[in-house]
Amino acid sequence: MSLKTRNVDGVLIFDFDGDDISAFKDDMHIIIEEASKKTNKIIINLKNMQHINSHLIGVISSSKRMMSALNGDLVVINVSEKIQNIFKVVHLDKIIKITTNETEAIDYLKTLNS
Amino acid sequence: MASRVIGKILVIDDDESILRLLSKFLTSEGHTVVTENNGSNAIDKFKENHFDLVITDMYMPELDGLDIIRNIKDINCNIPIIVLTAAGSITNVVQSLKLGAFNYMTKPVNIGEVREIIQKAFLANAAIRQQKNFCTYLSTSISTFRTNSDITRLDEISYFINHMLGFFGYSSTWQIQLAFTEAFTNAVCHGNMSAPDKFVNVEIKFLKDEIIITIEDEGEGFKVPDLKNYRLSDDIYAGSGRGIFLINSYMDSISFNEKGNRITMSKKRE
Repeated sequence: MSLKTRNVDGVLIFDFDGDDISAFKDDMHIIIEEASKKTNKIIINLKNMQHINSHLIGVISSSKRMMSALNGDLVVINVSEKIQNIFKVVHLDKIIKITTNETEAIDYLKTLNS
Repeated sequence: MASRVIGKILVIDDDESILRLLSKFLTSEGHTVVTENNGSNAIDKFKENHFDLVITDMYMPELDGLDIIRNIKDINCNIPIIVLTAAGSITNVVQSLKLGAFNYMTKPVNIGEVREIIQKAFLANAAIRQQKNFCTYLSTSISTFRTNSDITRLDEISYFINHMLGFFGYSSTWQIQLAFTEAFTNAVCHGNMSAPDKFVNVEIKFLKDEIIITIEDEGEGFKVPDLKNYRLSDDIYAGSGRGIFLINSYMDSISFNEKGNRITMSKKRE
């Protein structure tokens, strides 16, 4: 599992790659917390993720809360039908904005104050 | 000349000239061909019809080749998928193979290569069908694992489960994989608190139409929730309970021993 970060127009994008979800431990929380010192706009790109687990769901929901507290937001993009199904089961779809692509997500985040 | 295997093929590409070329050639080879220039429509067609093979372009607007592979493999993990890509696009080829594509072909399409790769894909599929035949008289398999609290064992055992589910003719396995991931992670990280001197015992029973998984850790256990009325906290941000909730949602049955350090879960084949 690798995690790359990019900055596009003040939006921090996390590109997840790979399916070794056991690699997710507490590191992810630390990375997001560090990111929150620099930005209040985050995109989580799940394009290359086939699987997801409750830990990553927890990371996404707590990151969402962190960004909202900073008057920003978090958007998840490229979510497969299977992962959307899982999001629905745990009600994550009710609190997280999901868009089909990066451009749409950036356009939305640009409307928020930095 | 060796006899050729024929089948029903779904071809996905936003370039109509490629669709026409492949449709004409594959039909002349005796295959039944369905073409689609839109990824979402293609997935709908795949859900509604039986196909033996899928050929998909890599670069398309909206859903691209990787999205197509992910979605189709979720519906039928045994279907062979061949990816069409521009010469030199190795990164996405590697990614597509990781996602379970059978092989790839570069554009411009070489008809001889198309024939050869399709035949290889059909032969591979025939091997899977033989495997399914094998499972008509394979009635039960019980496997046990004992491992220390090493989370990296998760992928190894998951791979084994996936492989065995293939033997037993399961086409969609992700719900079982997800439940196993949650329960094993819980045993290692929360039950045993990742202590290296504590072990996790896993027993997996593959029955004719059902899989039963038991995972026991050496931790203190926990207060077993009322699973019949189990629901997530009203606080969506609450950090705990999602793992058990997911297992409860995707498996047919789930139970714990009194101490709360052993979970047994089962799912019948759909």
